[in-house]
Amino acid sequence: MLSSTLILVLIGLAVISAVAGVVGCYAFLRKRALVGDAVAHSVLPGVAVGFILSGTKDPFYLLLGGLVFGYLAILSIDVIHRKTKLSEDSAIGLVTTIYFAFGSVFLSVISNSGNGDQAGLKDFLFGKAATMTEMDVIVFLIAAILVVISVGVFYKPFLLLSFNKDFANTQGWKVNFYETLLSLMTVLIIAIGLQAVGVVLMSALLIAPAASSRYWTNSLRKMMAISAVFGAMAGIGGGLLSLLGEDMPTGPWVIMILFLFTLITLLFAPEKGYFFIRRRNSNNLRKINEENVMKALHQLNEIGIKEVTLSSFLDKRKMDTDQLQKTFNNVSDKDWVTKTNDVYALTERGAIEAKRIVRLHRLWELYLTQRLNFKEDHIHGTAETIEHLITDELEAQLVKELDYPTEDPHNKEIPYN
Amino acid sequence: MNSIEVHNLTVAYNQLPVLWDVDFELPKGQIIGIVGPNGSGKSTLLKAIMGLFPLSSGYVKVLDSSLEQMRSSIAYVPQRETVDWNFPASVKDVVEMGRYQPGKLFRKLSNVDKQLAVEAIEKVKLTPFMDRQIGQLSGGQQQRVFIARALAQGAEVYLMDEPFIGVDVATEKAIMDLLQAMRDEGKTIILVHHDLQSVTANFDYLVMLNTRLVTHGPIQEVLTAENLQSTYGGQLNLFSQLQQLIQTKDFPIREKGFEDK
Repeated sequence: MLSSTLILVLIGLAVISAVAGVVGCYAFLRKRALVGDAVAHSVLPGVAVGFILSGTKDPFYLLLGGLVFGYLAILSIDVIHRKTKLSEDSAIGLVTTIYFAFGSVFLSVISNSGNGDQAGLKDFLFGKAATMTEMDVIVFLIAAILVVISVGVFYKPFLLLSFNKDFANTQGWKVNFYETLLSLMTVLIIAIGLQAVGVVLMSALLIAPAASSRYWTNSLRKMMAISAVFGAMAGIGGGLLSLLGEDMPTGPWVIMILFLFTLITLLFAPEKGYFFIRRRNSNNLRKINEENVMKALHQLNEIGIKEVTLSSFLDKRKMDTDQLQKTFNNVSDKDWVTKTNDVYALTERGAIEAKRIVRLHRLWELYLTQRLNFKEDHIHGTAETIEHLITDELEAQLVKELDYPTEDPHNKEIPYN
Repeated sequence: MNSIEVHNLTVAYNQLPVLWDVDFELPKGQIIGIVGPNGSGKSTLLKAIMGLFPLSSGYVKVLDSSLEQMRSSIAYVPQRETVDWNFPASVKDVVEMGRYQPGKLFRKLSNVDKQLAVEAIEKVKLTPFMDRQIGQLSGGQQQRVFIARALAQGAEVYLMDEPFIGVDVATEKAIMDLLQAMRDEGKTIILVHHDLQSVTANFDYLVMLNTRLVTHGPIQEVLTAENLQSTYGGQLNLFSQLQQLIQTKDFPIREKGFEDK
């Protein structure tokens, strides 16, 4: 049963995760995933200091403390990297651990003073959505709205900055200002996201939706939208699952659902997904088989054999029998051959298609010898592959460049329609 | 009027001086090549002119004014490999960036802006690839995307960093033709080029650089065996030892607060 507190918590989770997904796109595209991790760890001492100084768990003070320390972490990385000869990843590693160590010390101080449990600060490690109050959710919502507005208003500079910073500079954009703004937004989102997933897993909330969404689109706007949806669904799903058990942290559940999305993406995404690649490979293989059979039929035609059976075909060409049967089925489905009893013959349309393949093969052989100075005994192999690839436009170019040739290098006729 | 004027320019990179006291004025309406061996500071010079590097000394003028005043009259084409071509953007997206106006956040691209972007794409012959994601282009096509973005900016002076690197012969010729057409319209093209063999014949003017300025002038005058020797004949030994010393001792390149009266 959904109580109103529960709905509130789920809304909070969904909003935090969705906005983290949006901001994460920039961290991902700017290749700053590790900086997100460093900031998440560095927000912890900030939250603790916010609590110690204000003496309350008022989300405003905790957020403020987190913001200050998160931004300090970014500055620290920058200063360490520039002023010492340490590489950036070393600087990030140092900052992550040092700030986190301070955070742990502060937390134990608070805990020893006796009001740690009451503060629920330990939940910042792995996140515990159930402890969210109405006030928390309102503060998060305001922060989230601010971030969404900023991403909208500053779309152009953020895009330029992420893609080509030097160019943005030469155009006259105040790149430092926008970079700082983007950093502050990231810190803000991380600071509010800690409530949902905690310090350790925050960088996953930032990067996983962005990395997955990149697979589904080539447009930055769509990428941000998809990333937000992934984030929101993981937030709600993780929230519900964590509420099933007593004392269950939210973070791990949210991240596991995100992992599921990533897995689905890697399997099913267009162009780069596993199944897409597999289907493309099998389509290519089928096309190659079909075109090879058609080409062979044309060549048999040239020496007077107009009709073949599977076995008479196999006398002339080597091919796996099952594959051949399947290929013959395919080409007769396409109406390229007729089948009467067990005898196959080219149809009129099939003859045109067969001629096309033979023509491409022989044109390419001619191109290799004439233009690329290949020896005649070296051209057949590459032409075998290339004949399946050449598009109509490329064919037109080939014919023109070779000046409408009629014979290939082996003095065989190049058949035109 | 000069296209670019550089005065006493010194730039250091990680304390290592890569440009020393470079001083020249470049004419307008020409194709100007900046040549020199690897590590001679060619790209750094372009970046310094564009304000991408803090100058250790000296100043730069664009069309006789400061860079800030002339931003919209100068376009920069960075080296191709400085960006991630996997970025989620199409050819059109990138070229339209040339029409962005800094600071004008709420201004949507007008139809004129979009038309200018389309025309720039047409000029570099990428119209069939307009909506393609930029990672799915060949190296030469990617280079042309960058040039189209600069064209869309509609500038007077174009600074191009190695536009011929990793580009096939056909594209090289296509780009050269385009640059010549731009020059004939009165534009100034200043490009960094590492290889003296191929396209140099099409340049009007040369800046020969090897950390310090060797010489500059119309190509017929400066392309001499002697100048080539001092540009490409290796680093001067004493000079580079001094450079190293400045770096290892972390010594300031220019003194401050002590001047002749």
